Amino acid sequence: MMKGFDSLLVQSGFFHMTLGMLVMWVIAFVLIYLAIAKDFEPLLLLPIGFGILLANLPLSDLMQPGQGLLWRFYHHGIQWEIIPPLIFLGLGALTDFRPMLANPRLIFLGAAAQGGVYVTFFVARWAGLSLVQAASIGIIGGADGPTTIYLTSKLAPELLGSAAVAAYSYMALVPIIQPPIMKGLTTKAERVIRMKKGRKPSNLEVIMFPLATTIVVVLLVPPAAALISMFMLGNLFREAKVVDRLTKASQNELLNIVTIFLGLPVGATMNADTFLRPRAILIFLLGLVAFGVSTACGVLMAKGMNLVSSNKINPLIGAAGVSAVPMSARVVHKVGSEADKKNYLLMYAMGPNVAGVIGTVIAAGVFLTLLR
Amino acid sequence: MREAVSVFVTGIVGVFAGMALLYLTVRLNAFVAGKIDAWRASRGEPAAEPKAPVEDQLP
Amino acid sequence: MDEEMLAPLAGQVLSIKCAVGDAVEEDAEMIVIEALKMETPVFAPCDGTVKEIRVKEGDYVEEDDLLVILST
Repeated sequence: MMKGFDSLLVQSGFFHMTLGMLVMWVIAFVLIYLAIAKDFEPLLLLPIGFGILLANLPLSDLMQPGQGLLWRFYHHGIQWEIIPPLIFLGLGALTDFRPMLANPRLIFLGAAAQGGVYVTFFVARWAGLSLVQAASIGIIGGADGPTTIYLTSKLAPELLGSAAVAAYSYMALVPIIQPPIMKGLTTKAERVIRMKKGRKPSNLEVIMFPLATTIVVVLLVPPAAALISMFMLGNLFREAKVVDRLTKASQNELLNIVTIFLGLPVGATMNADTFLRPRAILIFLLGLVAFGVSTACGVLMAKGMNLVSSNKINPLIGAAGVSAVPMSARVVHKVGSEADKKNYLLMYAMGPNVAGVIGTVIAAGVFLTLLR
Repeated sequence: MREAVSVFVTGIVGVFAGMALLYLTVRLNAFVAGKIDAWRASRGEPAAEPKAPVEDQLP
Repeated sequence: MDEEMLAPLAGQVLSIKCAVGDAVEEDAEMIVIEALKMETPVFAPCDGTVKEIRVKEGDYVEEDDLLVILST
């Protein structure tokens, strides 16, 4: 009788707790707190935080390869590369490319803002990480969650949890990280520039765009096909306007469902043994560098384009080239309206913003081509 | 480290080439769409208007 | 002289902060448009009196749609 009670006690998790697990609990609770109380990317960080907690409860088989529930989510959803493309399907159905089509040269701002990806890749390699790890950390600078998860799960799965948490945390911090860089690199005279209205894209053009882009991007970087094809299919659903049911399903039900199965297993990859290393701090620092450099590159590109063009661009919108949609466009609008409150930059900023998403996908495709 | 430099350079060039291609695609797409719209208008057809959503259609 | 106030961006009219007959100063907040889950106030382009309001709360407006006519 006593013996049975003893073994029940010994086989309970309490005797198997480690200090590292307790530290991970704290991290999990901080993320859950930030998500609930501070509205800090709650759609992702709430399930990720809960996943971290689950991964650090000893003796559960949740992440046991071949049998655990979360392991199955992870294996079949992320390792099989199903969930990030499905997220992209939903994002495509939510994205309006008209601001970019109205003003196509803003695409180059979305390209420049990938600068942080490559600068950070280089710094990370120099700091002693392997090429594939450095690429996975660099892509954080694209500020695109699903792309970061997709690339990291293919190149450096051991970094998946940290890279995803860093990417989503900094996306939540975009309104704090970007404005000082934007203001530091521009003069007041540049911030009050009012931009000329772009043309109005016709309905036919908007429907043809996803088809043309799919062909061009898949031909150029075949490894980006999974992401870009789903992204453009979602957009075609949206713009064709004949499959309203599919558009709504992609935007709402499907996107919400896969978001649950994305966050939970990503968090569950962060157990104390793999996460609590100096490397994790390095990843967070490099992720911040990546965001900052990307912002700066976008702004500087806009200033460069102003040197050669008489149709001036407000350089603030360069900062929206990082693909945190639509947070960075909102930040641009706010900073712009501080300088001139009748300057409505929001829709102009959406141009580089959506171009930045495509830019980050191409950057990920280039990494996959070169490193795999 | 040499490999890192080459990935760095190829990467930046690759992204800019890709986005330049996207730029050309957008311009060409606008041009072609404009031509088609003009051709349809010349035949007296209205420009492609968004259709009313078909609600009761089953997959 | 009438001055037209156009929508600077597409979105939904969230609230109207002026009424016909009001005397408004330049930069007064006239209408709030919500786009991308962000409230964007639209400010009066010049001093004047509100002659006509062409939108109501809850309307969806396109870029450059006429919102308010001011007589100056």
